[in-house]
Amino acid sequence: MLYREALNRAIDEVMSVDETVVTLGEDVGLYGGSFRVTEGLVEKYGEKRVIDTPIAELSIVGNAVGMAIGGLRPIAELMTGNFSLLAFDQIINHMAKLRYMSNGKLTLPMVVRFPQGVSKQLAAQHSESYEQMLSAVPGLRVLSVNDVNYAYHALKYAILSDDPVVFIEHELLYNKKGEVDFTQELDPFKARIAKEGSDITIVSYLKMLDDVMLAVPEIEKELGCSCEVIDLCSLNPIDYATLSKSIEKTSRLVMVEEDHKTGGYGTQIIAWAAEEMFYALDAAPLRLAGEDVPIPYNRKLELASIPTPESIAQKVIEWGRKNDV
Amino acid sequence: MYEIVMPQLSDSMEEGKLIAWKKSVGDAVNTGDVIVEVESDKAIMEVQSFKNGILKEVLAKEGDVVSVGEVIARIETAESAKTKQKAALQEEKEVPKEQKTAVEEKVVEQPKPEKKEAAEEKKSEPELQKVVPKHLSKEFSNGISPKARVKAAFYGVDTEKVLQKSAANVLHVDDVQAYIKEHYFTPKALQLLDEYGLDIAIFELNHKIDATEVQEYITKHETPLPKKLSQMQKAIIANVTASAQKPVYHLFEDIDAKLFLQNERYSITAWLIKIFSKVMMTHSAFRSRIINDGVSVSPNASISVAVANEKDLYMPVVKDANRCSVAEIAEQLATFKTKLQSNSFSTQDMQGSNFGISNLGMLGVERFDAMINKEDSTIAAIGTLQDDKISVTLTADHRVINGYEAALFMRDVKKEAQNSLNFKE
Repeated sequence: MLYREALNRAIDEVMSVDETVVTLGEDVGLYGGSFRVTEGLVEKYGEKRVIDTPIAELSIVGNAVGMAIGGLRPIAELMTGNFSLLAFDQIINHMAKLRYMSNGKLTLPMVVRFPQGVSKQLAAQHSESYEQMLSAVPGLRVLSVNDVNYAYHALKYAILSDDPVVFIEHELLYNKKGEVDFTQELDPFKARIAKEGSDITIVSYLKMLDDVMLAVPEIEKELGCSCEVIDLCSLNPIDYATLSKSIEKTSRLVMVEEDHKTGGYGTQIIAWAAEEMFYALDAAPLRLAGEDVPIPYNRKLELASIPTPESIAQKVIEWGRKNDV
Repeated sequence: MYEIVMPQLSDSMEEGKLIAWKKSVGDAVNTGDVIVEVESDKAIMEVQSFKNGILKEVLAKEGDVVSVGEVIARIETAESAKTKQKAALQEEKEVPKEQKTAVEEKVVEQPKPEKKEAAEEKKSEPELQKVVPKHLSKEFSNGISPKARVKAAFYGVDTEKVLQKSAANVLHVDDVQAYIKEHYFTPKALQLLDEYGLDIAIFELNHKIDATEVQEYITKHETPLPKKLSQMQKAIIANVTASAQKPVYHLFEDIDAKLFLQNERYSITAWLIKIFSKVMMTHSAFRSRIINDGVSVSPNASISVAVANEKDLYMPVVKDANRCSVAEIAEQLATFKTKLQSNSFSTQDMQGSNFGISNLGMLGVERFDAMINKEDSTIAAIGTLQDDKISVTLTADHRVINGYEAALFMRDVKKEAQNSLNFKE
């Protein structure tokens, strides 16, 4: 099953049993979604529950907020992370805060989903990552899943949850293949150990995790060590328990992310490690992130602006040698 | 160059008396070899080497009193010999110079041991001073990792001492661990700890711990000796675990054994293989196995036989047993026994069977059931002889053989066991 099929299956299953679940966004209906995540749903559930909207992100999320207040469970799809910026007022001022400001009288059981990140030459206005901004908003839960099985379970959980959830996807993950265990009970807020190891803890999420996994054999070969790879899955809240258990074991931490290095999401993980895990660390942590530049259109420059399997391997090996791994 | 220093054998020890050299200059030294005996304020202890090499220099003579930490001998290890060669080529800074002078001196020293001492004492002090600031200066050291600090603090280890010993830029937790081990344990004690998987934390680290002390702990706490699984054991575990997944059922039967007894020239196992293989040829299900989504039927009947001693268990295969005479089967069984003793089974010996046989009758087991071997579909467990009968428990994989077929199979086996024609050879 493909990543996008797993998402589709999750939405489909919930819509079939819960009539209050609706999905809205540009092209989610007749066209089946820009990335085919909502394919076949309008035929099954009709235009009243699978709603094509105008190109107006603020109104998509604003409508969803209204629907949620009114008792529906809307899933709002935005075409890409950069466009979500237009909806930030609704996401941050309304979706995240109304429950708190109404003293719990209003609940907003809604999901905003969108893909983000560097795909292939979509240039600066279509390639950026905004998990760092959204994770900094109290009241929101931010899920960002790499694994196909987790994608299915996490999205299903997000739709059924009474909390407002931002569900971040990646354009390059939609065609990722994987098995889904439909019977599993899975906590989407628990980090996933993508690979067990004993010498280096490498933390990542979303598409970068796949790049880390590609770099790991080279790292292990060159350094003669074993890497533990952790997929955060949930960016807020963060599963610190899994992280600290791993760092206690390995004594070394590497953070890999695609967003810009300054103010990027990984600063939180590294800052936490410095505060809480200092005496468990046997080397200064390493953080690999995108360059502090707008994502270039030129393919070579584009790849140079974010971590790639090759650069991850090279930098971790360099760091490992310096630190006697 | 690996240096042997006067060890601190107890917390209160500040200097030690050199009792006797156990190695002379030029001797080869192996890890764990006793180099010298020294006397602390409490007892005489042996100082062992932690590295292999050649004893190049001794810097104190028997009867001398030497301060703790002072170098008393130098051993040239393979590594240091290499670095020396490099150094000679590159002529770099301080370290190579030290080594050079050390070597030069040695040549002069040997014929005149008295002068050597005086020269050595002068030598060894400035050397130490040179080494210490080198590692501690910011220029050369990136510091000490937080985890290494914690470990050092926990064991009360002075990190400066560790830095003196370590060649690394940054002190990591492994360096501290290595220092603690070398400082507080004899090589033989470490070997014991390793064997028994014991943590050094169980000992109070205020004196040098030798093998006897570790052994005492082991005896007192009845520490079990952990043993790693052999490849063979791992393979057996994988096999029987896979076997336990198979949906099996059992048929409990007895076979008339009169004719076996009358033809004692060959073992009951040999006769049974002969008969089973013959009957298998008329029951194709017993020559079948599941492979992926299909069933594959072998044209011949090959039978795996459990062959074991106290240590090992093998399931070698009598291939195409239906084409063999009892004599040939018996001969194969004999080779299995030899191979078991000499541990010389090959993987080929274990392949190609569909049916298994396990005989514990000779050990007096009345009746038992066996685990199906690897890809086999059936196994016959043979019990002991009683009232001219032997028990046979047939364990069959229901995916391949249903109960009706198994019943027919056993009926034919019983018939064949009474057919005296089979026994005329």
